[in-house]
Amino acid sequence: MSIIVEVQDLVKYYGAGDNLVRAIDHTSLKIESGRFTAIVGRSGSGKSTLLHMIGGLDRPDSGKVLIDGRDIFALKDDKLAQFRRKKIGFIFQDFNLIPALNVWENIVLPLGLDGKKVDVKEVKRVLEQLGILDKLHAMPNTLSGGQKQRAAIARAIVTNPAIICADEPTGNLDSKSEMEVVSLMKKCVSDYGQTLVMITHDETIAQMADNVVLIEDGKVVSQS
Amino acid sequence: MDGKSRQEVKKYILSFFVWVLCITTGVYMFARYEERMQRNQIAELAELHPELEADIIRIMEKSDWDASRETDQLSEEEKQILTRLEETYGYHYTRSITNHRVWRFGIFSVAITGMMVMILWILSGRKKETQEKESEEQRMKLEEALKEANTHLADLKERYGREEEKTKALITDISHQLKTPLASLRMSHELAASDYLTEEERKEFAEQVETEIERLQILLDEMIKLSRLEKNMIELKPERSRIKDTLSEAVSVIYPKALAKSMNILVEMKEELIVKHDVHWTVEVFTNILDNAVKYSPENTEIKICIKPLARYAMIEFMDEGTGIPDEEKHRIYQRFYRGKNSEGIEGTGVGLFLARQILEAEDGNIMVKNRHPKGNVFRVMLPL
Repeated sequence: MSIIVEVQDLVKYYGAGDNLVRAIDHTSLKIESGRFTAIVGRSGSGKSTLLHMIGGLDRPDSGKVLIDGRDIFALKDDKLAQFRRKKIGFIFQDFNLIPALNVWENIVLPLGLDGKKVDVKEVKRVLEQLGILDKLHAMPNTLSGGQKQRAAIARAIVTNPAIICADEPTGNLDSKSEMEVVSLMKKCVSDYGQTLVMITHDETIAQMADNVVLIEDGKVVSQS
Repeated sequence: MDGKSRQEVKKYILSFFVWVLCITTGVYMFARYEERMQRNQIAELAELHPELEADIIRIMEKSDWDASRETDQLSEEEKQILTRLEETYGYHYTRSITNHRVWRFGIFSVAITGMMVMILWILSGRKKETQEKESEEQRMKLEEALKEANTHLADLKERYGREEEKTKALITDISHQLKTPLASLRMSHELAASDYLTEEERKEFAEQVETEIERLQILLDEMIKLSRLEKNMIELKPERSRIKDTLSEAVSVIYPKALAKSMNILVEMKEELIVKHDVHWTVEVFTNILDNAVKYSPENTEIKICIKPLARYAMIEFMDEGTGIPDEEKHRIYQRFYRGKNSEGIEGTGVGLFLARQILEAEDGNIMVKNRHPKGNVFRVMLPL
């Protein structure tokens, strides 16, 4: 099995004494490359924290996260940021589009920040695949939830990261859009050979994944 | 590396010598120029004041313009003449070596050329730095790309190897699945052939054998379909065609079974939708889903089918009023031969949904199930528009 992300005995506690919250409690996990892995758990099970660690957004108290065999927390902050920008794309529940920029600008922003040239044809192709090509110049506040999320997906994909981390991407979507968004993510990711890691509390969404990881009280309970 | 740096050192030493040569030549030429100026001055003086000619010649004879001689080596008289010349005519005798103008020139040229060299050196140093940085960045990019390519390759290799494993697993699974019905069949047959039974009993068992054979036949059919699909013996040919027609075909297949349970099938569709799919195999998908719906629903219930267009997909919903699927099983039902905990006493091979998912994914579609309230399932199938 080609493992792209390996979590080794990860620990993250918040607070102390009576207020101690064991967000991640000695968790280990392996994520297959090129597959859609869903991490499922209830609210407060630690899945968000786990995803943030995998994405290098937060440092653990102890334990390792290896991406492509590299211990990402051994990197200094700025090197980690660089690594993250190149290797990982994020999709959030709140879409996180910049309201002052239109769809196109929002999508190519990370490319610009990285000093990369924008392959206009390629970006347009992704937009077409996601069905929002006609919304190129629209402002985020004119889009529906599903369209906003698709713009966010486009933004995460165009930088061509190796891993896409999605944090409850369907949380703010109506039931029709949610399946479509997950299908689109699945398709894009398999087209580009990327790895998709999605956290969700909804076990029905997890159905569409290749691998399902159940997490409870900061520990991985099962993998299938 | 050593040869390269030695070459560099040689270049530096050579440049240095050339520079020193230039400076020296420059200074020398300037000194000569100064001398000539002085000589011209003297000549002018002599011309203007012929009476001084004698004195001047004497000074010139005495002082060797090219030799280094101290002023005190001149006699008193000569010194007087010099002073007179200086005071009256502003002529100043200076030896070329102590001529501070020459020195000034020398220092000046060294300074200027030195500065120019320094500036050039710093600029080239910076250029080298940025070049080095760039090439280092490029090298890192290449390294990363190579790493990713390697991972991808390893992944492909691994998937290829997995195909073999899958085949082995399939064969094992099939033989396992066939064992039980065959054993049952054998038993029934033995009993039917036994001499200790009455005519009635024998008939009963004969019927049972009949049922078992049918069951086996169904199982075998499913397995053949399955293995054909898995081994890519079947090629799906997605075409744009009316999804309504495909659905109708599936419904007509399942209709007799539904009728037998007094179940109603309702289809809702607002508009004609053209969807890209392989008609034959998608009929298979719909049939499997409907078959499950009929099997796991009680009598006198309704199955509702809705077709809705989304942005990039068409969604077909199959809603039943059956036993439903518990949350923790929802992602397992697509596994090959999986039979749910609610499947006690219900005929089935556990292959239907597995097949459905395989086919749908090959058509760039998807399937998922949600709970229906108050009871039942909503199976959602998506196919690209």
